[in-house]
Formats: sequence, structure tokens, C-alpha cells
Amino acid sequence: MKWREKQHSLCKELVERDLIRLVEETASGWESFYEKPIGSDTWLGAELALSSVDVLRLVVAIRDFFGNDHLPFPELFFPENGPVIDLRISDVAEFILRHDES
Amino acid sequence: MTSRKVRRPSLSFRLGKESDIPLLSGLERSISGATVSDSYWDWKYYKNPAGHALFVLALTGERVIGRLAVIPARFSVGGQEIIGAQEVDVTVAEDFRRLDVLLSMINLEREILSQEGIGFTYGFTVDSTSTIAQTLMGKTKIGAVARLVKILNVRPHIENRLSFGFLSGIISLPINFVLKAIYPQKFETPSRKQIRKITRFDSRFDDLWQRVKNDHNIIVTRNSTYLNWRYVRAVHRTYEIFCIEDESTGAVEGFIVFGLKKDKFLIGEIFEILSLKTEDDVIARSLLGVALEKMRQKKAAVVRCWMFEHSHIFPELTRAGFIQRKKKGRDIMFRNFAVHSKAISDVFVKEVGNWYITKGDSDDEYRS
Repeated sequence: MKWREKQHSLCKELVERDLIRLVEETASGWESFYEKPIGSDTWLGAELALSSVDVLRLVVAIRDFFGNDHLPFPELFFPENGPVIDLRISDVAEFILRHDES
Repeated sequence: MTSRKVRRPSLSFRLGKESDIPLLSGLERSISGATVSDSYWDWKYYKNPAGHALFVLALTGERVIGRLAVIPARFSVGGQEIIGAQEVDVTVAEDFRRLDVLLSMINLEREILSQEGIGFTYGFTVDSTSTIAQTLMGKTKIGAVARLVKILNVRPHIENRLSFGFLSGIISLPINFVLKAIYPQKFETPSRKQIRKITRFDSRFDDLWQRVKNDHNIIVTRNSTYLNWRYVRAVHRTYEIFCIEDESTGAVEGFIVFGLKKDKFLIGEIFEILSLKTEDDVIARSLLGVALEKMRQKKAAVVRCWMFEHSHIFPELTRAGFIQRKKKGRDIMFRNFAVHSKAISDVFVKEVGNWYITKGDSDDEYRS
């Protein structure tokens, strides 16, 4: 693994860890029936059942936490290279890193 | 603490068809408790002269748990006709309101719109849904259409707040007197014109549309075909239509469409008011006068109307006593679909002054 890839992988892991915490905080107002621990492969919709309002709260929390008000979230939900029907924690982490690097 | 159960039954998504109409009524009943007749969906989705609605259904087994619809609308954009679509009826059963269901429906809808050659969509949102539309869906906010209100009779408002009926009569009397003194009750018909109640839009309204359309850069095509569908053939309520004609030629100079609905008290709603753009719009003033008089006679307590502040009709509304409800505007949202050859340029569409919108342009009739 090249140095740059190693750095990216390390950063991604850290971002994912922060994201999991933000998701848990976002979801703290309700009792989830989702019993597995939240990990990088957890689906926001199908597994955590986040509604559009929950996702909006998460977006605000991400912008605040990562200090980036300009993250283009519509590109995350409706990317030009094809539709997505759900997102994992790792997809959101990739998105944050991509826009942090650019 | 609210509980939220994660359900994972298999879901399917498909384009709705005419035979699904009974499912739509069932979905509405199960989610909002409202009874909406099949004939309403048939009129709204399948009798629209601009084309039938495109709606996506989300199902689990035989049960419909979500629906997302657009109804096509012909627009005049800088004088050129373009087909767009109004986003309407976003409904998801409470236990399925989650990201993957919403994204699946929106993606299928996008695919269908693109296949059908619809270049853009527009819709109306309130504060809470406006942020979701912009942040999650990438829609562009054009601006808020002002919602205006005119009180015709304060008594029902006071009665609504006081438990003693006789007191409301005493309190409302002087207030109604002042309102009548400030705002003129009677409006004169311009010379050599006559105001007439009509029950359908004939070809003279096509002539009026040809004269009016260039007054506005972005406007839903208000020809007789559209107007007859929207206001004459509507099955869910009745509208009253008045026009102003030239006495000698019979040419139509303008028209107004309004209706009444019962809430806590009787509410008048102006859906349409159209006249040629002039500095001193006596036609719009007269039409407003007639509509207000008719609604007053029918005991409406209040009249509601939507109008952008830049419209030439806005000053006539404020002159007639309409007051803008602060923070209660409806935001217009817009989304271009064709990324590389946009139906309307982003710069053009974002200029709110290019738009002409009335309450009749939305399907907002079931909300306040």
C-alpha cells in the first residue's frame, strides 16, 4: 500500500469513527430496534431507518463537526455517476474526505 | 422517548398506472385519515391536458407504502412553450419513512422523467420541507410567494377565541365598521366594460392568453384548455369565475377565479387573477371588487390569495386591504433535470422576478 493510500485509509477510519458517534447522537432521541453495533458498513436507511429529518439533522451535525459548511450533500444523495438507494457510514466518510482533499 | 422499529420486509418500486387509482385513495386514508375520492385522482392524474401524471409507488407485497408524483404543466418561458412538471403528493407510510425508501422513489421518478423528456420540475414547500428539498435533494429555492389575507368579518375570528357569543358581536361591530371605512366596498366597472359570471372558458380566453403571456417570463400556460381542466372540470370543489369583457367587441380583458371552503369559519380563496400588465390596473381592481363582494355576500370571514410582490397585481391586493402573512410564504423549488442542455438556464430561473404564480398553480388546496 502506498503512503498516500495508507494516509487515506487511516483518515477514513478516523472520520468513520467520528461519524458513528454523530449518528449515535442523532439517533439518541429514540430507541432503536437495531441491535448490532453501528459500524462502517451499517446502512443509514435500511438498517438504522433514518428518516429524511434524521438525515437532515445528521447533515447539520457533520457540517458543524467537520467545520465545512460547503459540503455539497446533494452530490452524496444524487451522484452524477448513477443513482444510490441507500448509504453506508463508509460512503459518507468517503464523501467527506473527497471534499476535504479537493 | 419514541420507539422506532426497523422493518425489513422486501420492498418494490414501480411506475403507477390508471388501475392503481383505488390504491391511492387507500394510501391517503391510511396515512392522513382523509377521504379522497377516486374521481379526484382520475381528474388530477389522468385528465390533465398537459399529460397524465407520472407517479412512483413503493410497495411491500400488495400494500402501497409510498407514493411520489409529478403532474405535467405547460410553461411559457420567455414566450417559448416548455413542458415541466409540478411535484405533488409525496406520501410515505410512517413506519417506512426512511432514507432508502425516499431515495429509491426519487431515483425511479428521475429516470422516468428523463425518459418522458420532462426537463424540469417545480414544487411548493413550507419551512420544514424547504430545507430538506435544498440540502438533500439539491433543489433550487426560487423564492417565497407571499400569502396574503384580507379579513371581511372579524366576528367569526373573535367567536373562535371567546366562549361568550354575545361579546363577540359587541367587539366585532366597531372593528368591522373601521375595516369598511378604510377599504372601499364597491368597485366601479371600467367604462365600456362589463363583468360577467361564466361557467367555462371559451376561445376568447386563448386570445387573452396570447396577449398576456409576454408580460411574464415564466408562467404556466393559461389557455382555455388548461383553465377548463383546472377550474371547470375539477371534481373536488367548485369555483366561481368572473371575467371582464369589452362591451362592443366582447373581447375578454381579464378574469378571476375564487372558491370557498369551510374550516373553523368560511374562507374565501382567490386561485387566479389575470389581466394585462398596466401601471394602473383597473381591470384587476374591478375583478377583485366583484370577487370580494361575492365572498362577503356568502359570509366568508376571510379571503386568502398568493401573489409575488413584484407582480403588477400585488399593489391592487394591498389597496383592497390584503395583508401579507409574514413568514408564511410558500417557497417555490425548482430542479433542472437535463444537466447538459438545461430546459431553462439556472440564472434565468433563479430570478424570482421572472415568475408569475398564483394559488391555482399549486395543488395546495387541502392545506391552509
